[in-house]
Amino acid sequence: MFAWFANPDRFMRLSAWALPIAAALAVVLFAIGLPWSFLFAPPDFRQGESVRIMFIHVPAAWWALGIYVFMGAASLMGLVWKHALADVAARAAAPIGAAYAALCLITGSFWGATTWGTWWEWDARLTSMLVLFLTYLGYIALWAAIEDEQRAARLAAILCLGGLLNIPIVKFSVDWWNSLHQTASILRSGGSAMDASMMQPLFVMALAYLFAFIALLFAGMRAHVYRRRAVTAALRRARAS
Amino acid sequence: MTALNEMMASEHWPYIWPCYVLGLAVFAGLAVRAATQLSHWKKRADDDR
Repeated sequence: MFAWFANPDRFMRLSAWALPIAAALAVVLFAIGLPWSFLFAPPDFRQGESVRIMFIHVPAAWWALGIYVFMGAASLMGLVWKHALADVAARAAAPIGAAYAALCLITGSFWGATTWGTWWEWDARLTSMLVLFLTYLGYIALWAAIEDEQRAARLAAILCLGGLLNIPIVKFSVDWWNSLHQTASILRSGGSAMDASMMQPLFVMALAYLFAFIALLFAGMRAHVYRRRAVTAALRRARAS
Repeated sequence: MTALNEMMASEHWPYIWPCYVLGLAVFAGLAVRAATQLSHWKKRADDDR
């Protein structure tokens, strides 16, 4: 299946109609999720109104991790099977993942300021999330620093696979170490601790983030494919003249 | 409107609205960046064909 998608011409045909659908779904889901979480979800009995920050913060955290895992899978496919679009997918996903990680860190800081009374603590969860953000930046910088694309793809893929070690640390840091951050309240054994009135807008927002990622990823991948075509055409012209 | 008034009156309000503004700004920024890059490289590829 991945080999089928790895054909750039086939990807361009598929993404030409999938991109607007994903973008439209993201807009609709944000149009539902934002007012729902901002105005209509009830305040939490313990956190009060500050719980509304969670609807921006938690999906950003989930997908910052999810996008990195996606990049890891694409990097592995690029390294092992040399799929033509694998490195393009990982490269296009990185700025989106970095933006989600930054959004998670900043909104988490606001939540910490009003709930814990501190903007930042060198806590295991916060620090491992910061490491994830810095790994995204390192990955983007590596691509930008190396001119030979094949070499850049190989080195960036190795960096990305190394960075995967941090993913379980982010996820389980609240269980492995004493942390200010609360433990998992949704994806945990024994079921969710969250009421449906908060869970529903949270999932709408999480879906909005997901479809926004898909639309932005396809747009980024299409731009990279066009760029490669433009560079190849320029090289061909330069050789002919 | 009562819910909004209650939220705006709460001590958490100065921490809530910046997160929503930031969220919107991040997605708007990502969308503009993606659209700009896509149209730029599509035009270059079409011109070079």
